[in-house]
Amino acid sequence: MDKSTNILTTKNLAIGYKKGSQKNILLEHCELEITTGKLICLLGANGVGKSTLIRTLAGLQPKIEGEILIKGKEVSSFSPKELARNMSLVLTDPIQGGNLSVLELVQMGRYPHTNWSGKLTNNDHEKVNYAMEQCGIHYISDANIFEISDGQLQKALIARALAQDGEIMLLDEPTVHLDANNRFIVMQLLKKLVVETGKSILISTHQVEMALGMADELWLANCEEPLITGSPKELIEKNIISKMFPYLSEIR
Amino acid sequence: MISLSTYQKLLGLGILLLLLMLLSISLGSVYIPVNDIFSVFTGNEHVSNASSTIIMHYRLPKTITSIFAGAALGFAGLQMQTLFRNPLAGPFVLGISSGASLGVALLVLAGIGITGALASWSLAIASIVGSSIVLLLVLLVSINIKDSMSLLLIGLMFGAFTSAIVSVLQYFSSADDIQNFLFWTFGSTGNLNWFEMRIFIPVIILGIIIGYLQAKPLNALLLGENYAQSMGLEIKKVRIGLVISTSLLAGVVTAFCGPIAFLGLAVPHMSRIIFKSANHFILVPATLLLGSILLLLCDIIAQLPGIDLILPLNAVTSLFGAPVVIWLIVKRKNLSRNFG
Repeated sequence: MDKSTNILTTKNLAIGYKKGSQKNILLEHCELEITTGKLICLLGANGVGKSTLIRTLAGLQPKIEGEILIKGKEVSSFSPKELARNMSLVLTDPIQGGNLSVLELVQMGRYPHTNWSGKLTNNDHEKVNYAMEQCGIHYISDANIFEISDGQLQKALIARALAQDGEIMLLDEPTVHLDANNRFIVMQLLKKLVVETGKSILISTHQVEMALGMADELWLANCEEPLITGSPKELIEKNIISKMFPYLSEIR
Repeated sequence: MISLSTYQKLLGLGILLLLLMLLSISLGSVYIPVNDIFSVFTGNEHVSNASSTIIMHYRLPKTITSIFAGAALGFAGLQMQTLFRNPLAGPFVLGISSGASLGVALLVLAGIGITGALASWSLAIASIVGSSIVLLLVLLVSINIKDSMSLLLIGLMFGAFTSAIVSVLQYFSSADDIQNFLFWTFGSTGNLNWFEMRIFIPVIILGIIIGYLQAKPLNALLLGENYAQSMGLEIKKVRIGLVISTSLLAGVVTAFCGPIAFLGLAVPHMSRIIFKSANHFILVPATLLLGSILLLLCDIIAQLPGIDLILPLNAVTSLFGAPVVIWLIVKRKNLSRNFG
């Protein structure tokens, strides 16, 4: 009984970098689907193109070939504001906001919903409140963002993306730089958000065990091969996981 | 410490600005009592003609020029620091002032000897043309290069390039021409008459309006260009708006007042410290007010009240600006933290 609907689809997508007539293709022939209420983990070695895929899906970087459709409409035909209302990001870019407080950071998520003066309506305040509550960061709302820990900052960034209130959230390595406990807490938070808000969340990560345990779906990226997608159970049964991550069996 | 609300702080700065305005009109080589100033403004006849002339033709235009020039430079600095995410950025990093200098140098040093009433006009136009050419080049590059750090470096290189041409021109020029050019580089807010201010003020107001419309994008840019774009900001549009605003502000001030150093760099930092905010809807009025206040203060000091001498304005802003910047860095340990 899967009630989830399709939000994002790619057709024959190729990603990479173009320089003049020279193309450096990282991944091609990607036929991907993001459906509502799913936590998807993108796994793959360093340099295989995980960040590039996320940046390309987010429209921060031009694709090389193929189509990216959100609700059936090509992403490049969205206005930046329209796209931002459908999709929000958490990146690995360093945040240098100076005097910015946690609350102000989360409020920035309402950017595509406010007018030129950036004034927040009651509805905006509610969304911000809800996002902070979900991420459990109310108690640091007045703290300056350079005073808080990496784990708290990551939760604040997730709250900001949540407040932006699109159906899709893309997170590039949200657990990197975090200690073991915080990695788990952040993953658990994402899992909870998927269940409670029905949003689709795609993250890239190197936490294979955690991804196997918590993701609804895995995307496996290998060099010069099409992405392999499927549920963790499916991929384990097909022995794809043990081939791609041979170290797993050695630890156990 | 008593913590004041943002509005109280803005009000306080506003009152300080009014007091400095009065002081600036009152002080100079000749002292004019505050009572006489009010009499001149209210059209009261009993004030001496001399006082009235000094106020209406010298002190008032100079005071108004300082207020607008200071506001323009402070705001231009704020925009550049946020756009480049660099605490050391200022309007001059883009090479705008070097471009203006080149325009003026070509006019003065290449010996196209224009004298009389036309002189100040041609000087201004040359300077604006010079700054806008550099601006257009930077803009052209900015459309093709996404990275703000690269843009900053390119701005620096444009500055170095134009300064080199100015040096070469100076080397081959007559002593008189070099002296004229040197006086312009000293900086002064006292060179504008009412007629010139009819250009100066509207251009600055236009620059401020264009810049203020970017306050929301500036807030988003605090998180970096990728995050800003993911929130729906059209980066090219915003960047062009910011560069146009900055070049109008810094270009017209450089044209009429010479290259005034440090103000564009120091004012945004002081605003962030006083208002403890990163919100540009607060920082914009703050930098406008603080810029005016600082330039008025520097100008009053440059007048050496009571003495018949005037210091170069640029020397005063540097004498005070450099220690202020050093103090800021030492106090905050890391300027980029404070920056935002």
